[in-house]
Amino acid sequence: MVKKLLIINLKAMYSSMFNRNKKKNKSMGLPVKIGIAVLAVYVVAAFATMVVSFAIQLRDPFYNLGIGWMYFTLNSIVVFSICVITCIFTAQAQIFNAKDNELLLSMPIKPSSILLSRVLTLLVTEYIFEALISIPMYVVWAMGGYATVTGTIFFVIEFLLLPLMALAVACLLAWILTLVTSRMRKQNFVTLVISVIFLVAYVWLFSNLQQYIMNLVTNGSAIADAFRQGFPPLYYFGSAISDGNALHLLIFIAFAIIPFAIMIGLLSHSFIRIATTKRGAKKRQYHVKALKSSGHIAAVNKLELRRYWNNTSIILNTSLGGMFALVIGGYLLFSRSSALELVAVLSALLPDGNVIAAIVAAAFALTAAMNVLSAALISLEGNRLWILRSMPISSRSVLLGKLATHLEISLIPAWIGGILSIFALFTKDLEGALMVLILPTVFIVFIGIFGLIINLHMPKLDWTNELQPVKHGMPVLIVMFGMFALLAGLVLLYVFALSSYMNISLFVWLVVAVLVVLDILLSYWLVTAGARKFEALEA
Amino acid sequence: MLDIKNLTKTFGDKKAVNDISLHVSPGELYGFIGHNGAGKSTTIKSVCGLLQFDSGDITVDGHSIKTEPIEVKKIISYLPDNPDMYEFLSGIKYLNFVADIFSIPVETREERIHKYADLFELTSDLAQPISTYSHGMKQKLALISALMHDPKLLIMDEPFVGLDPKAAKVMKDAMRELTDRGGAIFFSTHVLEVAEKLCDRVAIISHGKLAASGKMDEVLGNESLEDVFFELDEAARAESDNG
Repeated sequence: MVKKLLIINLKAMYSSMFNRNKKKNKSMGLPVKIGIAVLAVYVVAAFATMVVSFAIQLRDPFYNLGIGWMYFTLNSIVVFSICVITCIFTAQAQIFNAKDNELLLSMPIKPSSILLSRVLTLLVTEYIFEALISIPMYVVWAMGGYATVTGTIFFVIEFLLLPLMALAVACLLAWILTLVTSRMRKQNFVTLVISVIFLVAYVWLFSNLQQYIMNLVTNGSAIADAFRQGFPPLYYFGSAISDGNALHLLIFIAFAIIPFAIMIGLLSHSFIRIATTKRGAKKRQYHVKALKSSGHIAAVNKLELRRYWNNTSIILNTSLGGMFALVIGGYLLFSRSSALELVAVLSALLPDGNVIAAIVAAAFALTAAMNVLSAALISLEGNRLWILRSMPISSRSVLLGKLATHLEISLIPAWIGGILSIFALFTKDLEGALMVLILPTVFIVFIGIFGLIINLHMPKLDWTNELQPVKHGMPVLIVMFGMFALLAGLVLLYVFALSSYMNISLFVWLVVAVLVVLDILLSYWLVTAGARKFEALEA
Repeated sequence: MLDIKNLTKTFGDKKAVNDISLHVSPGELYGFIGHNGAGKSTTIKSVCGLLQFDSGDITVDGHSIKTEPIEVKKIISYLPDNPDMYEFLSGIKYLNFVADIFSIPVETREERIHKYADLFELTSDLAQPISTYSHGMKQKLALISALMHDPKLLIMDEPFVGLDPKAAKVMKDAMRELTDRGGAIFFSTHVLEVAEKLCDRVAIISHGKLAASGKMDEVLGNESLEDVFFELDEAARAESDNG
């Protein structure tokens, strides 16, 4: 039974990512399959390259200092952290708040089998994350000639067991989170705050990674001692592989299996109660208030804004760029001196035209490329499409209301970031100030319209969870990676082909002009052919 | 009020609705009956402009759903069989959104929302998010939103599913009140007793084809609606199997 449930869970996961339209029984075409394969190869290659470069810097110094175990301890820390962070919200959704818990419990299936199938589904995703990190690290270790037969066997055993430890911690945190937030009205706010904390910690860690690596290399022995005493399970993890120490392997196995077994035992014991407890915030009493009226576009816009602010997943998956735009603006303003140093260096490297303004404008454009809300706004209608389609509102107004939402969500942080950067760097440079405001603006308009158009061509309306079109939707991926590729292409075009013919300021203004033309043409398509496309969607 | 002429709609190779014609006059309560998968929802969705059909035409008060969809939608209301709504909105915000789209003046919308919310005993829940509503409460909210702009034609797919007895009674009264004012109602149902008692006219659809339609007493003759329905459905099934 566990196997059957596991297969169903994995199929549901696959379906949520790739099936476009069950009603029409459409399977993916070859170009889409090739696109997904290329994207997957790209993501794996990029991740592996990053891990390999990190591993190569650490391998020899640690081995030469006689603390080779530290190499694998660091590996386990990264895997453990990523698995815990990525798993908490998924565990909350799949175990504690799963919609089909009651249905499954009404069938002749043991509660422990339901639970185990859900836990194993989580485990499969954790193994994927772990493989992306641990396998390249072990390959680098082996290429240095340090791998032994015993160490390799121990690595395989520990590879299988490490996610158990992460899963036990993630389930515990998810349980606590569910208990804490279940009676709160602002559950989404709590989730958003926690997610932003994780994100800021990740960005901070990643931006200082090189410094940490240098510290590790220079102070390896002292740091190793601290790890040995502070994180014994992870020390045993590293020591078992690097030194082939069987006793340490057994101790690590105990550290991995015992907490996992306790957690499974506790959850099995309480699963029926967890799955059937009715949670909910205190009832809000209705008090008669004067209502306000809005026009059609404004009404759709308000509706979309409420949808957006109500769902943390939508915020985090479609508009992270806004947060980064604010961070960039804040950094430039509050770390003005280091920003000016950077300006001096870059000006010396590329002295032709308003290089700094072009780079800052491009940075804001890059953050805008991470805002892909419009690419999910048609799909998000899902089985509620009948509401808009059965009412007397033109498709044009619906699309413009949705576009307005994308623009508000993306333009406001881009403009705030831009204005902060102007105060930091461009108070006496009118062209620079205009550049950091205008380039991101026309680019954001382009992304907003392009996202809607792609979503109109590839709508996914049969989702069962709002996360599906937002997190796994093909239009979102196409727009995000498409915009990254477009920006990269423009940079390469200038550096390798056009830099000898025009200065960078002229190039930026030419790009702005082209984007303005594209914005006008695509807007026209959106309100004519796009509106017809929306009318043809079957609710 | 509603004219359906030679409506045909196919899904892939399957003809879900095959050359259906019927007419609903002002002041009429028109029941639409058929087994699961007979083509009721497809017909209803085509009338509301939710599905594009292959051939035929549908007009409401003289406006074609193909060429003047907005004009048609201004005078109709649609209640689906499963009222999936924007769960992130509260009841009152949903109703205000619908009122915005129908351009109902503020005073009128406030008056009608409170009138119908009181009638359906939903007033105290209007501030709650729709995600916390039961199926019946969602059904009531959808009904209020459908009645709010005083439609000329109310189209409903299985409207009585999930309603408690009191709400069902209020709904029947509201339906009768609307037809008394000259409005028309076209609705599908599986509850044959309700259809028999309520409807002025009835149409029976089987395997995508209209098996019978007309005034209730003409269709029934001396039989009950249940007997007529099973006879016609059997005959249509046999015809479908043979040809």
